Amino acid sequence: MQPKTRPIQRFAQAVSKCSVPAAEYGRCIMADYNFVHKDKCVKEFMKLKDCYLAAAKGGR
Amino acid sequence: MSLLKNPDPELPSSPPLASRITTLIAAETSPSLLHRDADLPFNSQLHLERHVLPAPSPSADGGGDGEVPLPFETDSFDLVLSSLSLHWINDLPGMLGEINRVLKPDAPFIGAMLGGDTLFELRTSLQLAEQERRGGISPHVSPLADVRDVGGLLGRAGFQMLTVDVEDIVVDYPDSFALMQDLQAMGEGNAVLGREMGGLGRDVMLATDAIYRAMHGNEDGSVPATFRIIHMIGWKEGGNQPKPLPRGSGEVNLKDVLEKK
Repeated sequence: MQPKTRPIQRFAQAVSKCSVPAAEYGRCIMADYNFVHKDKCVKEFMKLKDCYLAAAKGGR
Repeated sequence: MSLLKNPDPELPSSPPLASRITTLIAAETSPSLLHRDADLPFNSQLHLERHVLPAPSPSADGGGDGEVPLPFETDSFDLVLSSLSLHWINDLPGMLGEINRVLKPDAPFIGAMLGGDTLFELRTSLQLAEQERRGGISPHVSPLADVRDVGGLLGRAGFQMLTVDVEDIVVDYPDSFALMQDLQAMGEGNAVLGREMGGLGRDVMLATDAIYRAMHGNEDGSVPATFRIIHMIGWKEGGNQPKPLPRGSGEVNLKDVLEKK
């Protein structure tokens, strides 16, 4: 059997607490998805990542 | 074995199909997958042989096309079945040719494989995420045969009276990570030889989930994943098999029939 909580499950749980910045990042990508380039949505992504990092810390 | 009985209670009950099978040979390249259900009761109810197929070794140029011929005699099987494993075959035309070879004349091959647009939601989200986060893309999902290709491949391998059909099964997942875990448990992890080694970075996974939701997400917050299954039936050429009539041999004009309504 697999261990009770795998890293990916902990990851998924932390990400699930960040639906607002995730939706914002998604919207930024979708706004012009034929012309996506590196760091196109870096501002939105950093917000999402900060939220995830905070959620991951709190969740332990 | 109750599943194999005729479900209609009106009809006379017939013995389970297993009792009509003399020998069933299971062949797989993965020994653990092949022997996974070896302890289950059905094993004692029919004559079952397990064959571990030699795994194709990657050729020197990095491609993995060295498919090994099936270790069975020509014209020896009454039926060949394949369920959701043909998409792992690198040399699909060669494998279909091998299947055709081991079948007896006028015996069928029945198969189902993942193909075409399977997991297109995951593929597109991963691509966009990698492009935005890292400025380039790398393959994560193996190339799959298209429905259009399968008919031609079967025909080229020598099969007659082809039937090819597709079925889209859409499964909703709570998030893209649950889908990835499921794929891993299905043994369908990334095995593209030219891939970047190591798992996806956290940043890319974080971005993928957000894009997956934005692009394909359902209203209730779940995300859909499409599995496109290509079903195929082909018969090995045999003596009394019905054949299509030659072109131009029709005697009734369809136009007359349809217009006389």
